[in-house]
Amino acid sequence: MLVLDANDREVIEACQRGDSDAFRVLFEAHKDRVYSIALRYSGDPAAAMDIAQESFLKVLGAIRDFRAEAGFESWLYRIVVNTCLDYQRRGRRMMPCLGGLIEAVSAHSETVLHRLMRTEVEDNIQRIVARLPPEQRMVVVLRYTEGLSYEEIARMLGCSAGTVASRLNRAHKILERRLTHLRGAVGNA
Amino acid sequence: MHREWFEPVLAHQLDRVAAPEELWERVRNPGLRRKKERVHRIVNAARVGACATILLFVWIYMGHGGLRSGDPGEIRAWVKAQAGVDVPLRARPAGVQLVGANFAKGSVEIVYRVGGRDGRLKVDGRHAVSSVRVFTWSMDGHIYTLECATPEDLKVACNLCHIG
Repeated sequence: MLVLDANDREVIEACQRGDSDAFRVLFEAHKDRVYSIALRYSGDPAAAMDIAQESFLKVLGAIRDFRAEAGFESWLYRIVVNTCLDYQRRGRRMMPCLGGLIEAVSAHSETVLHRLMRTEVEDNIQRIVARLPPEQRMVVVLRYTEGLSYEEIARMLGCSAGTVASRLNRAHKILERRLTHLRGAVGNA
Repeated sequence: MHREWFEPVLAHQLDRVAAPEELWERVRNPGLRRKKERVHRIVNAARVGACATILLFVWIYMGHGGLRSGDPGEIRAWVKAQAGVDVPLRARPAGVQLVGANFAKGSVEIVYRVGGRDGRLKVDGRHAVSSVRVFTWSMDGHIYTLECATPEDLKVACNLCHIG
C-alpha cells in the first residue's frame, strides 16, 4: 500500500522538475486522504482546510528533497501528522462546529429526524475523538480513517508498534467509556 | 486481537471524506487565503478592540465593582476594603432599607431606599452643593454626600449612621 508504482514515480519526478500539472495530479490523488486525516484529527472543517492547505504547501516546498526509496505516502503522512500537531500546538481553533446541524436541517432525501439523529451520533463521536490526547487521537485517526497497521502507524509517528498498541488501547478504554451512551443510538442511526 | 463493539462504529464514522473543491484554489493561491486571513484578523482585532473599549468604559464610568446586600455589617466591611473608608452604618437603621454599594472613580456609593424611593450616600465624590434633598459635609478628611428623593427622606436617611 505504501509503495510507489511507476506512474506515481513519474508524477513525483515531474513535480520535482517543477511541473505544476503534475502537482495537480498528485494533489488530486491524495487530497481526500490529507483532508480526512486533518478533519478527523481536528474535528473542525475550517481547521481541516487550514491543515490540508498547509500540508500541500509543505509538500510543494519539500518535494525536491524527497527520495524515491522512502515511500511517498509515508512521507506525505508524516507531513500531515506533523502539520496537525503543529496546528494544535499553535492553539488554533479545533472544535466541532454547527455546520452538520445546519446541513441536517436542510436535508431532503431522508427525514429530518433521522438525519438529525445520525448527525448527532457523528458529531458525538467526532467530539469524543477530538477530546482524546493528541498522540492517542492521531493513532485512532490513522487506524480508523486510514486503516493503517500498527507497524505503518509506528513508522509515521516515529515510535514502536508496541507504543502504538498501548496508545490505541488507552484510547479504546476512554472511547468505550464515553461512547457507551451512544450504543443504542448507533444501532438506530 | 479482541475487537471492541465500537471499532466498526469508529471505522464507519471516521471514514475518509471528500476534500472540498476550494482546497485546490487555496493551495494554488495561498496568498489569496493569507489576504483573507489578514482582513479577517483586522476585523477580529477591531471587534476585540471595540469590546475592550466598551468594557473599559463600563469599568471606569459605571463602576468596576459592586455589592448587593442589605446587611450593614457586610456593606461597611466591603466599603472599607474597597476604599479604606469606615462608614459607621448602624446595625438597624430605622426607616432605611440598604440595597448595596458601588465603587467607581475613587468614590464609594452606598445605595439605600427610604419609603420605596432610592437614595445614596457618597463618600469622596465631588463636593456637591447642599440643598433640601442633598446634604454634604466633610469628616476625617473625607467628603460625604447624602442624596434623597425628598427632603423628608433626607431626614430619615440620617438614621443610616445616627440614632433618629
